[in-house]
Amino acid sequence: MQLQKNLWVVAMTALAYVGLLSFNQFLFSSFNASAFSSLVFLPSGLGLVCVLLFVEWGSMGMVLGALLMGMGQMYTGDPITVLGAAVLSGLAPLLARALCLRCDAFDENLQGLTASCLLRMTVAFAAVSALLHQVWSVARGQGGDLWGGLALHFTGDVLGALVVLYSAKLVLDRLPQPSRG
Amino acid sequence: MSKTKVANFSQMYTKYLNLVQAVRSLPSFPQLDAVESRMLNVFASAWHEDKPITVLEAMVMLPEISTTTAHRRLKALRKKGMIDLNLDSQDNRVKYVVPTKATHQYFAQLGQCMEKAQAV
Repeated sequence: MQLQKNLWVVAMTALAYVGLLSFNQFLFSSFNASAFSSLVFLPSGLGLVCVLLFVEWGSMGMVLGALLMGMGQMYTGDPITVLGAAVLSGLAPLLARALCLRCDAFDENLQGLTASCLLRMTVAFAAVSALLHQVWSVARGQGGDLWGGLALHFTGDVLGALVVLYSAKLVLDRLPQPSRG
Repeated sequence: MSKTKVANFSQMYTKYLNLVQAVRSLPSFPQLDAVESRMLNVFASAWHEDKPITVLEAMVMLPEISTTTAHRRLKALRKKGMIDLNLDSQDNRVKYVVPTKATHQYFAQLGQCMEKAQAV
C-alpha cells in the first residue's frame, strides 16, 4: 500500500514535470524567445518542492519526467546523454537538500524551514544542478562554452524556482489563513 | 488504519505545513525594521496633508532617535526604494522626502490588512 502511494507520487511528479517543461517551451516559443528558454527553467521549482516533500520519491519522479521529455519531445539522438541528464535532474535537488540539512537549521520534517532557508536552498540547488549538468555535458563531449553554460543553467534554475515559489506564495496569500482562535 | 500509516500521513502533513509557512513568509516587500516603518508612518501623515518634508525636517520628526540614526535610516529607506529625494526648484540645497510607487503599494497593502482584520 505504501509502495503504491509512493509510485503514485513518482507518477504525479513526472507528469507535473512534463507539463511544466511543455508550458515553459510553449511560453517562450510564443514570445519568439526560444533562445532564452533556458533562462527561466520552471521544472527546477517543482524539483525543489517535490524533493522537500517526498524526498527520494520526488527525485525519482523528476528523473522519470526528464527521461520522458528527453526521450520524446526533446530527443537529441544520444540516449546515454539523455539518461545521465535525467538522473542528474533528480539527483541535484536531493544533493542540495542533503547539503542544506547539514548546514541549515531545518530538520527532515522541515521543522525550522524559513523563507531565507528556502532561498538559500534554491541557490544551492541551482549551483549543484548547473555544475553536475555542465560536467556531464563536457564528459559527453557536448560542453561548448563551459562558463557560459554554467551561468545560463544556474540563472535558469534560480529564476525558474523563484517563479514557482512566488506563484505558490501568490496563491497562498489569496487563500484564507487558518484561524488562530 | 495502522499506526505506521497514521505516522506517515502525519509526517507528510507536518512537512507540507512547514513548507507552506516558509513559502508564505517569502519576502515580497523590502523588509523594513521598526524604526524605518515608524519613520514612514510619520512621513505618511504629513504627505496625507500635502505637507512637504525636507530632509532636515525628516531627521528630527522622531524625537526618540538621534539625527545620525535618522539620517542612516533615510538612506536605507531610499536604498530600499521606499522614499525618494526631490530637489527644491528654487534652492538646490533643499531636498524633499517624497513617496515612491513602492510606498503607495506598501500603505495600500497595510490598508487591505486593516480591512481584513476588521472583517474578522
